[in-house]
Amino acid sequence: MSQHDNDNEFNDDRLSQLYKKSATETPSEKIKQQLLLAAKQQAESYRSGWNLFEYLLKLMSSSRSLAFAAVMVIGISIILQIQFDQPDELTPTFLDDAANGRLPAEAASPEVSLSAEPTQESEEATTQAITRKNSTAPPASISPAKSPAADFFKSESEERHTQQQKEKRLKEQQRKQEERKKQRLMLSPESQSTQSRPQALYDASSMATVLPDCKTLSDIDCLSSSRCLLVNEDDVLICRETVNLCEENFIQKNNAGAEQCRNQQACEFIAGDCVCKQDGSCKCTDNKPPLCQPIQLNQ
Amino acid sequence: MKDEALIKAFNLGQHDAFNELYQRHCDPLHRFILRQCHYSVSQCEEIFQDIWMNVIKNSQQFRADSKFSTYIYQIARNKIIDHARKSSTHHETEHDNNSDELEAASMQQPDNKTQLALCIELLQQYIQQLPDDQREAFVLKQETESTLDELAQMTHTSLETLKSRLRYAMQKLRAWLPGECL
Repeated sequence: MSQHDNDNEFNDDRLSQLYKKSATETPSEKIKQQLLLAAKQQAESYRSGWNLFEYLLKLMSSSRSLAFAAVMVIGISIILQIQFDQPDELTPTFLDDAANGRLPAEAASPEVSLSAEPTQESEEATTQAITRKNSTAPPASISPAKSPAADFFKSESEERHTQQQKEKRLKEQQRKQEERKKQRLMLSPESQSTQSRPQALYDASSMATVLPDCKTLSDIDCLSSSRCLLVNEDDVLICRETVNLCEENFIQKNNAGAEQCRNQQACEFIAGDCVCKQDGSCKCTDNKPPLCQPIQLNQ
Repeated sequence: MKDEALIKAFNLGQHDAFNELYQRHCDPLHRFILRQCHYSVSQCEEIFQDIWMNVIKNSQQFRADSKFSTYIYQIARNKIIDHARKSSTHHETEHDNNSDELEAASMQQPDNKTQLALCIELLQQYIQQLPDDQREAFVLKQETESTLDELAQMTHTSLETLKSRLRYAMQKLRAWLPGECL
């Protein structure tokens, strides 16, 4: 006998009808108002951040898979964020140096290192760099013809001025880095003109002088890196520097850079499926990691 | 929108969702309490209010895998039992008084009432004369749109026990009510 039949056995229509006619009592309006007010207050407290967070945690704990998914999403987004931010925050690039009128050799000088203590030598280097940069600019307080002896006896105010200029320049560099980062995010086809490519290549190589060599990275770090690329060479996975604009800033891990790659007019995305172990080594289907490469016209 | 979705919305800070939930369940729940609670109307309403306050304060503990109606009637049932335990002496006295009143009312049936009004009054009296568990099963069946399984869950009994209670309750009511009422 089905549940429905069971229910029918107890569905005495006449008794039910009579009962329904007898059921006229309603709760008082006062109680209703009090309850609605209490509910409103409670709802407002739920709306406050912490309670909502607590509720979401409870929801997550009620479903293991949901909790796992949430943790994965948060973890991946943190990793991607770190990887994406790393190159720009650690070191200025040659583009910035070039924009500031400095040579690559100067880019690696101690004065650009944010943690380096200012020394007499570094200040001299700074002074010389500024001098070269501002050769056409109105004369600054530091004369290009100054001798080392004159530098030695430089007044305190001049030193302070130099220090201020240096700080100003560093701030300017940081601002430009931020702008460049934003531009990379919104990489438009127009910005990928052939003129910009050599600069991008040079940019990557100048960064490599300060950041760890790609060859030293583990597979998993390489997949997550925006300046290194895990590639198949002679059926062996190796980590190398990016060599073109398509590869630059392309995140291979979990095909995260797919959309960015597709958005670039001259690049094509080749998906790959890689699985990494805890020791950092990875294996990819057909030994082919995800790639973002220039579209080959003869295809 | 289902009850369960409404309580989720309330947990996310939408108090209107509670209003809707209250509108859906207030009358049947109120009647269930009036039928099951052996005290004055004001005391029964206190229990009613207490139940809803419980829902408001502990709404985040509601598990979406059960029906809201099952949840709230379980709370109601527990509140009524708790209340009965706390004032068992008082309950006995009042119950006796109520029984006396009911008997007196059934003896003095006013002639000027219509047949329907009389049948309704008799039914209400006879429902009160049913044993607690049979009355509970009958009222829940009438007031909620729950299945027998859900009713068994609400009353913490087996399906067969619930059916048995319902069967007895309906048999008694049919037997007590005059033929004109049915």
